Amino acid sequence: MFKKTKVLWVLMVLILAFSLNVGAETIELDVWVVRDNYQIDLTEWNEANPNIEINFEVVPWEQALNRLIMSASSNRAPDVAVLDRPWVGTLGGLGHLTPLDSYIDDYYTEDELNDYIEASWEFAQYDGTTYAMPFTVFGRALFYRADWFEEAGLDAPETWEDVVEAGKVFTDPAQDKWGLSVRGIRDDGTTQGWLPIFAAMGGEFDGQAPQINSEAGIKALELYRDLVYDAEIMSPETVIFGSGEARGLFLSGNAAMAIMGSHIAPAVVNNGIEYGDFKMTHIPVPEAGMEKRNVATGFQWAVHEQSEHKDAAFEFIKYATDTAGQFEFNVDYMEAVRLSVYDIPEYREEKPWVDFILDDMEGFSAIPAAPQYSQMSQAIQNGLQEMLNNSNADAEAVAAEIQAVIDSLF
Amino acid sequence: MKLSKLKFSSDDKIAYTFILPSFIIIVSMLGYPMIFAFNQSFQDVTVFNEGSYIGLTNYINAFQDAAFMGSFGRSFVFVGFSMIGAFLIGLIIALLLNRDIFGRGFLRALIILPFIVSEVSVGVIWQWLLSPQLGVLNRMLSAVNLPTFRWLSNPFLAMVSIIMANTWRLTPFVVLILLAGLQGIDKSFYEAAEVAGANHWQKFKSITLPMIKPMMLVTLVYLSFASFNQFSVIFSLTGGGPGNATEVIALNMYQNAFQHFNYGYGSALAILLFLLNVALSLFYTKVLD
Repeated sequence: MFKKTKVLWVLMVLILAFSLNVGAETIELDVWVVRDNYQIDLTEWNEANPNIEINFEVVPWEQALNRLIMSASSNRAPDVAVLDRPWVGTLGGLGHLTPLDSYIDDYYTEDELNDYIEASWEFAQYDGTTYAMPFTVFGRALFYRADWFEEAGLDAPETWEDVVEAGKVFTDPAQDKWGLSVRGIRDDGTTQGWLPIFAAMGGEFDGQAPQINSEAGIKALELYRDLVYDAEIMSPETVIFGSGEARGLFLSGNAAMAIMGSHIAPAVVNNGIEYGDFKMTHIPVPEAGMEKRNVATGFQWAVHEQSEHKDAAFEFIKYATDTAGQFEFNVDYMEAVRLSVYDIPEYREEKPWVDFILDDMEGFSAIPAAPQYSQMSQAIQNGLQEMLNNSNADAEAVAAEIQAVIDSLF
Repeated sequence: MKLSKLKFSSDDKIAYTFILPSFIIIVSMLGYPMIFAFNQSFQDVTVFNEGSYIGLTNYINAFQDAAFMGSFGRSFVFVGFSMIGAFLIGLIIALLLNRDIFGRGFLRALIILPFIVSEVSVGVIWQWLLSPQLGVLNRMLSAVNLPTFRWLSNPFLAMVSIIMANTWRLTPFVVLILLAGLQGIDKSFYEAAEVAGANHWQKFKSITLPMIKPMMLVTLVYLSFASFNQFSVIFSLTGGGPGNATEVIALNMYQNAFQHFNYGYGSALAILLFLLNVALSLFYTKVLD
């Protein structure tokens, strides 16, 4: 009798276990990322979550925003997506993103939240709501050839006057050698490269709208014109310089200074210029001792509002943004937003400039993330093209024109 | 004639049966998006607004929009010079390749290359050719002690550059079509003209041109709408800059629809571009007929 009961119990347990196993539904999460390297290692995830399958799809940055919008209109949006900072405003404003504030409260301890660099939260928010988990950031910095500066007896540039003075030493147009290189082509990268200069000049934002028609805005516009036509330390071709051309001049030793994203530093090292021979410093200011300010951008992970597996999606985001995931991603690309990553010796070894990054982050503000961002950016691009391509460009008139467009949008 | 009175032979029925699948695919793949865009062009649809009917407002706004009107003018310059360039160069090459010259087969295969390269690649290739310091064109000019130019940063030269790139890409099409036409001309016409004492120009004007007129029409129609619709070459070569110097209708439409997410207005611009292409096709047909 006892034996029979025992066998029955074992059978019941087996049946129950089997039925539970059959009932465990496999969840598939579609995850859109903007580059290959966002496809983080899933080994630990797969071990811990055998029933949640991650399907990565690389949707290039240039197409991602449009595809996210289009996919939502046909109810085929991904569960999770990597978002550039300005898209948080566009998609958040459209109601396409799941607000994450309550998830963050539920899933994270206070210690975990304190591990995030304070400024990083701004990159994931729009209109007071957190729509994404911060993952990686980068700000523009002034790269300069420290070895050349030392040889010429020059100090690290702090003000624009320093930049012009040093630039003149290294400029030789006949050899296509320039003091400074910046991006100037008609694209959003040019706007993103100029806004930090505007901010460092003392420029202000009214909410998400930069106040270009201001003393700082006019000065920042004049600066681009004067660096090409007055100081002549920037190439007259700057107006068509995209990222490749602007960084190419610095990497090839044809520019002594360049304003580039800090994420370019590993590429400079890979190009054979050791950190120390080149260095990064803060975006120059008009006068020595002024407060350092930077307008930065970054990428974050968001859960789409149309996802039917929001809890699983957020679980995945938590996995992707943990210290190990951040280290894996950031060790050779962009900057981590978790302080614990900066304590990893291997990270510091790979990126000897991290102390500069941490210092620079104190002056970070996030690039605007408004639904109107695209039109705003284009108005600024048009203004910068005018300043870079016309030695007689009137900065006040250009600033007023840009501001008129911006004011009509907000 | 009433449809019910139409009589179809059994051959007709078989022919229509074979055509039907293609017809359905074309109507569904091309017809539906066109009707959708046409309908949307009368609405104020944006990414933030599902839209309501606003009549002709988008069309009226287009003609009051300085950016669009500017791109409209630039498009005519771009298309006009691209057509003239591609047609004349293509005609000359076709006439040469129609002669019995050494390596004709190889040259015919070679000439097609620019047409089979993707449009984005064409833009990138020309960016390298026109690069101020490293570009082949400026190096060639400086090698023979001629002044070099800021091809892509000077607004006038940037327009010249996109016309050159577009001409380079489209010329092979002209060569292919006109060469096919030239090869279809019966040699006896030329022999008769020679007997009558006609010179080269007279033979070209009185025999060649009239005989290849249908091919010229096809070529002109294609050159026209391919140039008006050109986006990728210009976008990858200049991005519409410097300033707005190379912003043609297709780029302006793209900006409004896909960068500013103003779908209703973007659709109206697409319909205007379509109507322009249809009107010009009818014009070419009328002139050449």
